[in-house]
Amino acid sequence: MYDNLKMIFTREKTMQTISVKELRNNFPEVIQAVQAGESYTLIYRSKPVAQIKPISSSQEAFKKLLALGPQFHFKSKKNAVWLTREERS
Amino acid sequence: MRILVDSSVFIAFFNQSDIFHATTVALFEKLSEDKDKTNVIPIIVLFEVMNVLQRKVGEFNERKVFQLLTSYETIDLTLDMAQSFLAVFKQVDLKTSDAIVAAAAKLSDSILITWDEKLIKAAKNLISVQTPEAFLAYQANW
Repeated sequence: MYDNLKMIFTREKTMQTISVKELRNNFPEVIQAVQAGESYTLIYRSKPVAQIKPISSSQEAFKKLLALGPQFHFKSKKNAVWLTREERS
Repeated sequence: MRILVDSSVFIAFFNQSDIFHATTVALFEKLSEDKDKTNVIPIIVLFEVMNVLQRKVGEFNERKVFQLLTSYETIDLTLDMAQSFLAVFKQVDLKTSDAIVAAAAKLSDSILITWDEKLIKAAKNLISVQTPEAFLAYQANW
């Protein structure tokens, strides 16, 4: 499990970083990549200051969530508030 | 308009037996058609939802759900942001996890959508907070 998550964080989903200078020098390529679904963390003076993401990502993400098959769902007699309270207690 | 969908709502979506499941699906259908709403997701919500799924679902494609949830606008909990969060904590009487979610909604200027009536009651003086049911009704009348 830990190895799986480690893989997710370190390889599969680490957002690319881009400096202000790189953004300035490669603006057309970056915009093209964002339009294709890529996301970037903008680095200014060695610190992350912003995320550059496609603006339609919320809408698309809800569509994709709704399209998930039954293998992603579960059945529990405990309702969501109870389950969330368990996580937060 | 920014919204912050709480863990209870995502969990109700994944739990097909949940009393809130059908309304949650209706909410997600509405949001999937709405270009004007941007969902923000604090990292703690990502952790809670993934943790519940890992324990309840068993074998599933974790990477797919992870990628879906992180395609929302994420709110990282970094040291740089700690002072802003702590300042909001002073304004509400909530335990840490609830306070983080409420503060994330406040700092991102989002409407918090949750099934947790207790959280709604405690946070309503600080932020705009609604159940999915109330949010859908409000959107229908808009």
